[in-house]
Amino acid sequence: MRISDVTDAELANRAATGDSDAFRQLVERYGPAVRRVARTVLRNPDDADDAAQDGFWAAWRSLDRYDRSRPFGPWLLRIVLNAARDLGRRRQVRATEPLTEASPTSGPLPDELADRAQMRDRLAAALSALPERQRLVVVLFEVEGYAHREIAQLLNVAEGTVRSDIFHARRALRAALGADGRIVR
Amino acid sequence: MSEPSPFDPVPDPVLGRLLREHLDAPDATAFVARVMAGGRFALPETPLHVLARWAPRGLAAALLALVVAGWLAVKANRSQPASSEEGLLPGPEVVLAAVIDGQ
Repeated sequence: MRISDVTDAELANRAATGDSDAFRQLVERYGPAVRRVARTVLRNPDDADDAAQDGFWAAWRSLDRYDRSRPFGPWLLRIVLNAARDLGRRRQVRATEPLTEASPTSGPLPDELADRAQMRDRLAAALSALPERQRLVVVLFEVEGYAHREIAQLLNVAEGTVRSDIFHARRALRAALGADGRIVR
Repeated sequence: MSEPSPFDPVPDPVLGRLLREHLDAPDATAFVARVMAGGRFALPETPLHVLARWAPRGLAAALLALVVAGWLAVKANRSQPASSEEGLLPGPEVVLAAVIDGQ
């Protein structure tokens, strides 16, 4: 049976009985999203991975409390968010490093690559300037594909707040990406 | 191309792609290994796990107790005063040899 054939609930059931291989599959399945969300909160990549790891461990310890009738992703992300916020509070004094590992801008680059690098830098700066909730909302909506209602439940805010946050975040990000407020496609 | 509106109820694929590129972390395999190998990563224990963890120690303790009890029994037998019948009874070595030989 391929990994994709097994449901999250089934993997969570097996993991809850001590099947570490099932838990590994959940880590493989949700690792990328969990790390992106942790990076959205913390920005420092090392701290973000620490928080992502803490979140997975906390989820492992709480698997017996996971309601199998509900989607696993939002439940896990809520735990990771708490872990990231806890870590952020503990490391508030630590200077943040920009997330630049995937977007090197030093050295000579062809024009197109340089443009893309500049665009990424502008996006990073604009995203970083947003309040935490707006960052989370726009990433959960645009990248992770969650619906307004799901994001509202995940962040424990009203659905109207989510829509408003998406509006403001999009406007700020688009303004940063294109001189006329439009994304260069 | 129509200008995207901040009110769009559906995700913007271009913005989504750029955000993903910015937030994606490298070395997914290494991260999975790190989570699974973490020092604080411990399986939740069921009663069977507890039994399995203690079984080797329990068996070793039982074996040790058996050996000590046997040794004490042999020692107690040897320290008893010789009875009048002792010379008539075969020793344990003789009995053991007879059993082994099937006699």
